[in-house]
Amino acid sequence: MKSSSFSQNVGKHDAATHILDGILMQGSLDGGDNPVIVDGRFEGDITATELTLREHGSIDGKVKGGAVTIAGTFKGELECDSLTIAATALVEGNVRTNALSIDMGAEVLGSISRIS
Amino acid sequence: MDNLIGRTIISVGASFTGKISNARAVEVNGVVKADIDAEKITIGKNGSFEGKIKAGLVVVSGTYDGTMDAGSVWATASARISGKIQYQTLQMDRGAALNCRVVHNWQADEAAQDAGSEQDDDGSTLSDGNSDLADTSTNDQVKE
Repeated sequence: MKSSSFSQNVGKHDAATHILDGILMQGSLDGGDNPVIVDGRFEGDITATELTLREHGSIDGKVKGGAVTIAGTFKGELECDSLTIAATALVEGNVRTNALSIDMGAEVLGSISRIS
Repeated sequence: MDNLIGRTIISVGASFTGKISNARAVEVNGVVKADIDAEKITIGKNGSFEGKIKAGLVVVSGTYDGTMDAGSVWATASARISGKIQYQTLQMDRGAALNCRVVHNWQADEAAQDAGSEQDDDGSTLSDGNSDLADTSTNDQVKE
């Protein structure tokens, strides 16, 4: 699939915003109604209805979201409706969420509180 | 939901402001205000990009405003471009709107020729994209 010609794919929409491994994005991202998947490095603010931070990805900054899944490295402030922290995750900072699940093996440093 | 094609995507409805570095292929279907250095950049039909682009191949189907320095530029029928384009090869489809300064970068052309075959090997993925463009343009000419 990777070798498929670039020009053939023009105009074909993939619904999710996807930040690939190896890339560095600095700034602020609003995912709109579509999910955001981070495999690369992101520094800054993210707003998303659905955010997935994959195993090798990292986010440094503020995240505001609906359903958030973290399997990579997160540092900063996180506020979301529901949060799933996978076994491979490292989370450092302040977390505010209404529903939380942490898998065995995940490293979580910092404070966890509800959204009042 | 998996992205098998191997490019970073800013989806429809999404917006990003900032800086993108170390990118290979990037597709913009949302709104982006950024400076970017990549191999291939696609601005989709609904996409809009504002800022500096430095890339081997840029395919514009949406709106672009800024300074672009690219090996190949393909402005499709729905393209709206303002600012400045610096290019080695340019293809413009019927209907594309260019309201910008267009500069052919022949110095880079000569430099590429001087560098000889070594550089061709390095930019193999890039030249694939170029040959795609070249193919479509010759086809068009044959049809007409």
